[in-house]
Amino acid sequence: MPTETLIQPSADVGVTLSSVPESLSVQVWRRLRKNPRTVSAMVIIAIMILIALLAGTLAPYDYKAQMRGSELKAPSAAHWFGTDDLGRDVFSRVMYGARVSMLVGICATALSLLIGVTIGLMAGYFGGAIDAIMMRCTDTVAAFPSLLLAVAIAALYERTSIFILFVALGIVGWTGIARIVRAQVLTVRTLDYISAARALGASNTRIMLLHVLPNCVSPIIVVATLAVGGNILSEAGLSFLGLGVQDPFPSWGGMLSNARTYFKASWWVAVFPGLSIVLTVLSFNLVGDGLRDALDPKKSAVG
Amino acid sequence: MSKYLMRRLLQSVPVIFGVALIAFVLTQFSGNPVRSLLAQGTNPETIRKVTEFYGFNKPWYERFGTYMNDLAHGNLGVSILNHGEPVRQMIVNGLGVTLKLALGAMIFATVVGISLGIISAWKPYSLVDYLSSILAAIGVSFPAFFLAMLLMMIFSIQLKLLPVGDYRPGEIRYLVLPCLTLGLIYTASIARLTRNCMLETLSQDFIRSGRAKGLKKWNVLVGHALPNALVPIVTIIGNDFASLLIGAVLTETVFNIPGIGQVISAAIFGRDLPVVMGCCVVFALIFVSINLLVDLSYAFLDPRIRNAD
Repeated sequence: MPTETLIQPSADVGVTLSSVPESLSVQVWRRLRKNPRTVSAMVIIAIMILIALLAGTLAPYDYKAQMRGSELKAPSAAHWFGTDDLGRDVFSRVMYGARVSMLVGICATALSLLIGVTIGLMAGYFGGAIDAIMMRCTDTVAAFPSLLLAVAIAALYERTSIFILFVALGIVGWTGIARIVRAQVLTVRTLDYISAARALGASNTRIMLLHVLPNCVSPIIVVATLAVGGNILSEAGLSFLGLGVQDPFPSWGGMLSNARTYFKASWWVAVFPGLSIVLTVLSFNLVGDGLRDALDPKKSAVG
Repeated sequence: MSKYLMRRLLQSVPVIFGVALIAFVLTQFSGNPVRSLLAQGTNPETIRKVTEFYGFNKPWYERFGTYMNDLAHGNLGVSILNHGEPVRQMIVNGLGVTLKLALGAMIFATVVGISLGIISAWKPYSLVDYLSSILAAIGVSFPAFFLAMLLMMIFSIQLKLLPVGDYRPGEIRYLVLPCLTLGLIYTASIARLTRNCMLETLSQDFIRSGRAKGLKKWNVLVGHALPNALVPIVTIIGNDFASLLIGAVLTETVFNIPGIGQVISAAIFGRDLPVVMGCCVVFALIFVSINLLVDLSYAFLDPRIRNAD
């Protein structure tokens, strides 16, 4: 039977008999550390964030410096990733491009979290008509092709900026978060300790923020991590369509869009920014998967 | 069953209405598009006439009423950029090509994905299983347009097997690479889901009974485990098809295919509001119909759901 291998011995669940139980975050961290995929993905994300922050000092060339006579040069010792059609160093531009991807990915997710958690929390907690109306709104936004909606929002402006990009992606991407939070709230709100808090006279706001929300944190962390990857991918798509940060400032999607004309003869102008997108999104997805496994209560059950 | 069908149909009405409303509100923010369309220094009288022709001088509620009324009659208005070409015609023309691409990709992804999933479930933690799990993780992280470029570099430029782009209608070989690009991204996720669902089913008692009475492993796998895994597989195929249409928009730009993607990008850059609105509404309509079809297919796939009423 192929199923035998499915059930793995839960050797990683260390049963400590000491009187003080480990806090959840310590447990989760211990489980995360044991997964080599997750650890390497976290290292890559850390490196990408560092590159984004320190691009100004780390990059060997200025991102807009054009070197006459060295247009579309293949990778060499002087230009590790080659040069583009205007003689700009692709390696430096990829480093600066990390800024746009990281900033838009993280800020858009933060905005989606703000909207999604608020709506999911209120819909799940109050129920009834509020729930029905809020969830129909969620369905409507979810029925929109998300990238198309973001495109429509971004296209309203003559010149797009990082700000418009993350707002457009943020107000499009909250529906999944709202649904997950609502589902979690529905299971939490019937528990005894919520009734106890209400009996003690706690206000709705207080119960929602201090008692319900902390119990929804695990699924929120997982979807948020996966959403950062998704937003980086969408940002690249928007930039590819020409709705991104304006040239000469580089973004990975914008560099690929520019490469459309040249990549057939000069592969490096497309391959390096493209691989940067794949590597970054892959890392966020792997960390999200790792977190999901580490936060799964089924796996943490000590029996 | 018919009661359920009615309820599901009624539920999609407010969603479509809401989408039309959002599309309308969004385009209101960009002001009178006629002004930016006509050349600088155009006679103010002409601007006034064109504005009146498209009805942009009327108050928003009147325009919204007209728009919704037209929509109910299947009329999506006329394009500003293409001088009065009906939006419906533009969308129908583009969508024909895009659907061909999307369907080709989906068929590829479904056939290859489910086969890979069955092989992985047959021998879990084998080399094929391991490779397909890596492929799945990379697949969901790949921008469609980058994969399109990579495949073009390999198959068109290095191996010279397939044309570089420059789509010609009626010639299948121009659609092979675009379909492969889109299909590959979704193959991986379908394979993973098939494997996981089948392994879950394989751990149940009726499978053990089947094996105990002497059924071959392969028969149990395809005859018993697969039908039980189909509901989630169809769900993910439905979801994927929706996002695949968006991926098709991006892929079309790389391969220069005159599908709905080119209609949308031309409309956005030309501020052609009726076309943008029309595309949004049509896409939402497609999304809602796919969800409906997926829900209805459950009844065909699972007798427990079929006989629930």
